[in-house]
Amino acid sequence: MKKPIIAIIVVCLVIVAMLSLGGTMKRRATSLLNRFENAASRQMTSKAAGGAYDTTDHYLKPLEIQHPSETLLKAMAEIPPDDAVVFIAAGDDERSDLIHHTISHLSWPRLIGEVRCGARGAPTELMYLPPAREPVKWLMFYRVAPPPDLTPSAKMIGPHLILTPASELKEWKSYCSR
Amino acid sequence: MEIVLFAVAMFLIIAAGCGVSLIALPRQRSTNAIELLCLSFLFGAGFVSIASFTFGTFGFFIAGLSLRLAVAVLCLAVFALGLRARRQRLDWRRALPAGRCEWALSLWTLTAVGIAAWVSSVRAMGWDGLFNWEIKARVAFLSGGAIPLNFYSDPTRPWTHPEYPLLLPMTEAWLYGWMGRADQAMAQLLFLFFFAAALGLLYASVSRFGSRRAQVWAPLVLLLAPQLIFSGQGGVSSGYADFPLAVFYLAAVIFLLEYWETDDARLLLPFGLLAGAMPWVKSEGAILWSCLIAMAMIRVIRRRDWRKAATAVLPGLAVLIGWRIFLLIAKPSTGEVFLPLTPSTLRDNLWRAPLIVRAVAAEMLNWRHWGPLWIVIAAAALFLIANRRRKRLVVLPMSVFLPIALYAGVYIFSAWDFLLHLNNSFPRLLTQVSLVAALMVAIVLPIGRERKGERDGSTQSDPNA
Repeated sequence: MKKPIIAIIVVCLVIVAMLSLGGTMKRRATSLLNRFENAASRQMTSKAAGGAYDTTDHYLKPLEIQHPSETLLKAMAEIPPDDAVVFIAAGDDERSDLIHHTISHLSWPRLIGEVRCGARGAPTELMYLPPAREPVKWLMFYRVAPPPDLTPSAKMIGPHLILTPASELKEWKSYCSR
Repeated sequence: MEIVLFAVAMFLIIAAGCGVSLIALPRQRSTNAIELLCLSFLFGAGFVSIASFTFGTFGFFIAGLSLRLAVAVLCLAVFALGLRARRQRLDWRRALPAGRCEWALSLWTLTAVGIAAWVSSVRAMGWDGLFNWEIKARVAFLSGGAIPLNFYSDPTRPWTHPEYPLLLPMTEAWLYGWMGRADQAMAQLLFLFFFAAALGLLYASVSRFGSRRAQVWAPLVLLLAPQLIFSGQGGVSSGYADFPLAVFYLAAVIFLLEYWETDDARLLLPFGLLAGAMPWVKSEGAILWSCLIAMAMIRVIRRRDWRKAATAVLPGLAVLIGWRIFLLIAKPSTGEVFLPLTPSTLRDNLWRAPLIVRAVAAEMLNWRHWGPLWIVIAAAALFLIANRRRKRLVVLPMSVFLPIALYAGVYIFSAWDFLLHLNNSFPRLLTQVSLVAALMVAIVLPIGRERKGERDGSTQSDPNA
């Protein structure tokens, strides 16, 4: 009984090894080791800042702000908890969802909607908008310049992020024109 | 000071869990001290999260400090009840390694925890870790210990998956409550406890089903897979629920295996409690629970342990039905991930099956995620299935490959690009069964030794085998 079992196992191992390694064993083994190293080093270099906002600080790095989570929390503290905010982001930025979610994570209990401006003529995407009964009173512009009429009251949180009160809302895509 | 408060919160979790363990474990069962500690952590996390959720969500008009104190008093009461009802023989002898080789390999185990701790300290949580789980802990902490009902139906936050169960968020919120602040780095520490519990359970259970010598191999098997410790989504440092779910699954399988081996129906209570906690950890826990209950029922039907069977089924049913009812009340805002599970959808999408099988095989052979782990597992499973002496151990390959088959089948109903969906989520699903697979590999080693011993005429019988 033992011999057939061992034979089955050996055959399976050989087949699997051939399938997964392929090519010359040596070259493949070297490449595998490199891949291990790459995977490990990539994870290690994703070093977070440490502390209470370890991960959110890491995710907010594209904002290029010192202590981004704490800076954002200070800015959001000026907004009453019942006020809804809409985050307006450039459509060509792949990280806009990540930034929106992280800001929303830190901003509870405020409702944080998202408008993603269409890149290169693509339509504006309206995502996670607050319900009509919760009027939007603030706008947050990420890598998008606010319209001139909002500029005087705008507060710059960082080089890529601007917060401004919105007294009168226009069509969403009009905020993306600049 | 924060470390002291963190320790107090962890002590209360383990105290409550110890009480539950002492009540649930059967009389005269010889329980390894390390095993008891690991089970205490798992039961405790389940107990504290359910108590915080129930007290906090359904009001009783308590929040903040009073909620924390109420749950703390409950934890200590359960601990006292457990001590009073204590009927087990604590086995300290098997808890400690014997001989130089075992000590050396045990140090390896501790090193594995150290490595995981270091990786956690240099890595940020993953996307799901922050946006599906930790966010709920933060919201609960800021709201006095429980998640307010309006969070579930918040139309601006459906990406948090408010329909997901709450063992992890409520346990993290419990730690935040005691520390007095939401701390993402400290939340990652919780996962190290799950990792240590996994190693402890493997260490204790391999000696129960295999032999003492093999008990140190299981942790080494885990080190084969970078996905679990070093990288990837769903690993120890990612903050995802998959690793904690894997630990609960491992613990439940250990009791199921013991039931299959000993036919002691009293084991169905701890089995049922651990299996029942799985749907409270993650939605996929319901699938794992169904697999385990089906395997338990095969034995129950043969043994006709009908009354005891209820203790296996009821905890999980209570969690599943209770959470479903709560979701009906809370009306969470969610997106559709799957098409309707109907025969017509199956017929229309059956063409996906060969592509899914190929993608699943490719993932298992993905060295960057799994190293040689699944090759070793496949060899161990083949050996175990072909082995006639320990037929009951067949429960191990079943509990590894049955969920994998079901998980793979689910992508037939994916509403997204199914291959993209599979590539994104399947590595995490494999994580959930990988600990049981490691147990299987470690158990196979002493079987080979026993057979060799018998052939040589020098039997090395293990009283626990």
